[in-house]
Amino acid sequence: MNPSAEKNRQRFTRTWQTPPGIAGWIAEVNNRPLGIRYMVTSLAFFLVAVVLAMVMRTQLAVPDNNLLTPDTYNRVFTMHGSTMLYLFAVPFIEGLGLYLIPLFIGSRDVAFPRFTNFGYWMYLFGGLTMYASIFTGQVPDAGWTAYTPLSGPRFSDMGLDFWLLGLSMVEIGGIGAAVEIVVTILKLRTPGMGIQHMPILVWSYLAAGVMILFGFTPLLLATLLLELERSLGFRFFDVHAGGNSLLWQHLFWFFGHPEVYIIFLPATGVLSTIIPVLTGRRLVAYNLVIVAIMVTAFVSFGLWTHHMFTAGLPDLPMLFFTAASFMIALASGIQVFAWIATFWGSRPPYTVPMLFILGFFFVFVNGGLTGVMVATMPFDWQVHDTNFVVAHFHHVLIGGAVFPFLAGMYHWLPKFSGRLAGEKCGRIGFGLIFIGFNFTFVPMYIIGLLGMRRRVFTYPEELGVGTLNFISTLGAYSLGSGFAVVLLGLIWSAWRGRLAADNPWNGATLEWSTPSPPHASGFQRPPVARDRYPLWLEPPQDALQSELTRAADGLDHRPVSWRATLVTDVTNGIPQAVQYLPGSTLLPFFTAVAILGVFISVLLKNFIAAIALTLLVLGLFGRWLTIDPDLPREEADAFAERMQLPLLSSGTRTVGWWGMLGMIAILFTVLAALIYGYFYLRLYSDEWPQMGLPLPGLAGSLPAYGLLVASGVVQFFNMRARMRGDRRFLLRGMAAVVILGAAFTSGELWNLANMPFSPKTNAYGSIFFTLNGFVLLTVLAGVLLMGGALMRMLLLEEPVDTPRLQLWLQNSELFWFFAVAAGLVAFVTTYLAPRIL
Amino acid sequence: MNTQTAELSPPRMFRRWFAFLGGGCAWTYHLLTIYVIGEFGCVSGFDRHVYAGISAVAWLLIIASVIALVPAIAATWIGYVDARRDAREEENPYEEGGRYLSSFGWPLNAVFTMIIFVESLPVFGYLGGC
Repeated sequence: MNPSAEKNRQRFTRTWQTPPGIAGWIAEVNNRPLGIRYMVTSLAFFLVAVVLAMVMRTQLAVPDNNLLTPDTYNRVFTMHGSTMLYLFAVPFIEGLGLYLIPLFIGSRDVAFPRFTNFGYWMYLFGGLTMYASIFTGQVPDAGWTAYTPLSGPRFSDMGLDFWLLGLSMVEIGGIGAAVEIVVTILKLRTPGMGIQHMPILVWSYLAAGVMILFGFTPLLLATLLLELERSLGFRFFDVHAGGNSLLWQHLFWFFGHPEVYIIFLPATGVLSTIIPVLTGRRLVAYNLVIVAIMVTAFVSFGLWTHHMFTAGLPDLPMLFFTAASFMIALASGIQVFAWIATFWGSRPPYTVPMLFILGFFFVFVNGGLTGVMVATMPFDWQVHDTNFVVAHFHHVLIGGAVFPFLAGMYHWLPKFSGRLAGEKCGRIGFGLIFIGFNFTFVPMYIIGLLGMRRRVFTYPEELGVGTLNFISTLGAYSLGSGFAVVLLGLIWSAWRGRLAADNPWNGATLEWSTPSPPHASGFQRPPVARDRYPLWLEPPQDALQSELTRAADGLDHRPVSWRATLVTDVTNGIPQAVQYLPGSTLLPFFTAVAILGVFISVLLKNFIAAIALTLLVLGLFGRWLTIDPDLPREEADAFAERMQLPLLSSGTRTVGWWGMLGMIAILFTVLAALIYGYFYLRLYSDEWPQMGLPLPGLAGSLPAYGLLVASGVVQFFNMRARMRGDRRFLLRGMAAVVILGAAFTSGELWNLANMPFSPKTNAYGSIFFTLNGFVLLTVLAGVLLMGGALMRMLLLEEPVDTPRLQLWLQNSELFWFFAVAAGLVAFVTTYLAPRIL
Repeated sequence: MNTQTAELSPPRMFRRWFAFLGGGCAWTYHLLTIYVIGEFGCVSGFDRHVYAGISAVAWLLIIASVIALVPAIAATWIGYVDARRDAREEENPYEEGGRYLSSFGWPLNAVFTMIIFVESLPVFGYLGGC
């Protein structure tokens, strides 16, 4: 190799390396180290939750036990459930996805590296906030579901505020990671990887990512609404003020049911990846498995009310959810049979991953069958809130998710660490886990059918379930020991295990084409992939292959002084552009710290500090958005000439545009949930507005909303001016939109300030102000975005067709149209609907 | 770089993606609509209004289900027709992904059509009221 090429390779390697020291570690943006961080942190939380479970089972080992007080028991099971579901399951999945997905699709990193860093800190700070409640002696005690009114201000202490605020931070991080994963999969696939060639794991993560966007957002909204109730006296859930406790349940379970499939689908992706490697065959019925994934992704949103069968809702709508619950079992069944068919006639080695897969079949299918049972209303009426349900969900979650993920850890440890996992420790651990699991949870079905409720700190001897509970406790000790053995074994292997080859299992997917562990850039030269199993098949040698190879060669150890990966089109995997990727920065960390500060201020009821820190957060986010790529001119021009692809682009060729689409999807979900909440409260109220309040006046609101509509019309013409490159019209038009938006905001604020009721008056007041407040904040954000774009145009004097400016303008446009639409919907709902309906 | 051949015209791209996602979107509309009609209609007492022996709530549910079945069946049909046409035409490696959307989409949409139909069935046990 000539010296110049060697020098370039070294520069390329340096560009992707993490800066040294603690600051470098904090500022890390590479997906793989951050993915490891997510997984390690989540496994630490997992171990804490396992210890809490041991404590619970010790309390329940014998009847009439008094090891724990009832109050302490409530706090223990709350933290156990919350930790497992919020701080372990989804973060672990996201960490695994952040690590593996770019490798599977041949990308060097995820779409928004700084956001990955931000998401991790939000997750860590959120989890620590929840546990910080221990230092106040007021640990959350309302269960992982936090039903109102138990979680309301009347019946819960400050521990719930730690829970709500901590959870909100975790959710923000989780939703951000989901946007990353979805946009990465859609736009950063390697040349040739059309949608028909995506590995099953990638499909499952795409589905889970989209589900997180639409599923987590209602929970984020619900936690914020509950915190508004607890801190500021809003009345959404207070039945004495026209509120409704069931509204919390609806919002919660609209998240809660998809949540379990968000956990399950990536686990099925892991199985669909490992099983072909174990058998040496392609997965049978690949298309049917994707049908199953897609059906699960959609239909999981249609099951939520099956958690509320005993809430007193009408039978007819409940039956729709029973029907949907049966249908989703078909989807899971398709996958199970596809796996069995893949195994059929093969001779897989009985390695630790294989053992966990067999364990999955036994445990998950058991749990799935009991799921169909509880989906039947009359049966559910008998077993709801008993240990039967506890047994069911542990079967599906541990069997359906933990077992596959442990299989995955053994399978991919060589890729993570460069070392093989020890089989002996793994087998011992598996034995303890499998036996322990069945002894813990199978008796619980019987205990539940015999009438022992869940979430009770003890039970009387006369109930006759003492022996079964004792057996269950012994099983739990075995289960906990097994987890400890497995995790310690994995840690030991990662540190001192036998060195692994790059592809020790003859795997078929792209992650095995990299060294173990991979280089900092992931792929020094992007691969070309035109099959679902690219390492098992030689690609066709046609014109397309030549073009794709040329594009990949262009990125071979290039560019050398900045980070980049290829953008391809969503459907066919044809290269469209080169995406600049930002390097390490402390900005995301400081932003997460500022948000933590906001939440702590709210916890301490210091709202002035909360507002000040919110402004700081906005400033920090604004700084993120305004950092332009700093590309050395000469190198950039030479690179662009070589690649024959745009280096900086706009519209659907950029990840930024797709990220804005994701943001709008999130805001749309918030709006939809608020509208639903408005009409739900209306439904169960005898009069509306409640308590004889007057209808909100139109005299003030009509002009304000008229201004908003006018701004939408102006923005439409701005969009046309942007397309034809008319800078002069754009400057005036954008200024007009900013002025109209600011005028709307001021006008509607004045309106709200002069309403004859407040958010604390009753539930009507709370939802009225919250819905209109959401619109105000959205429009304000739009004004800032639009104002920022206007400032950029004025200060930098760029031509309109400059890619970076175009992207700003396109994103501001999209956001503004959404803000106007949201305003119109809110206006019709809050001002017009009460006059008509 | 021959990117142009990978970028279909918007109507054709819309047709491919409709053939892929149309059934799922129809299902989403269906479930949310029948839930809202079911709970809101039953709790508000709207089922007291009866026409031709069938309650207003039941009528709305039936109409909502028929409306949902239309795009679901259409997506299935379009996907099927496009898949058959693609099978007759010469393969184009630049458009393989688009073809996949149609060939894979129609069985997917057929499943969603079946699910919409099954989820509509409970209304026939409650034609007179909630």
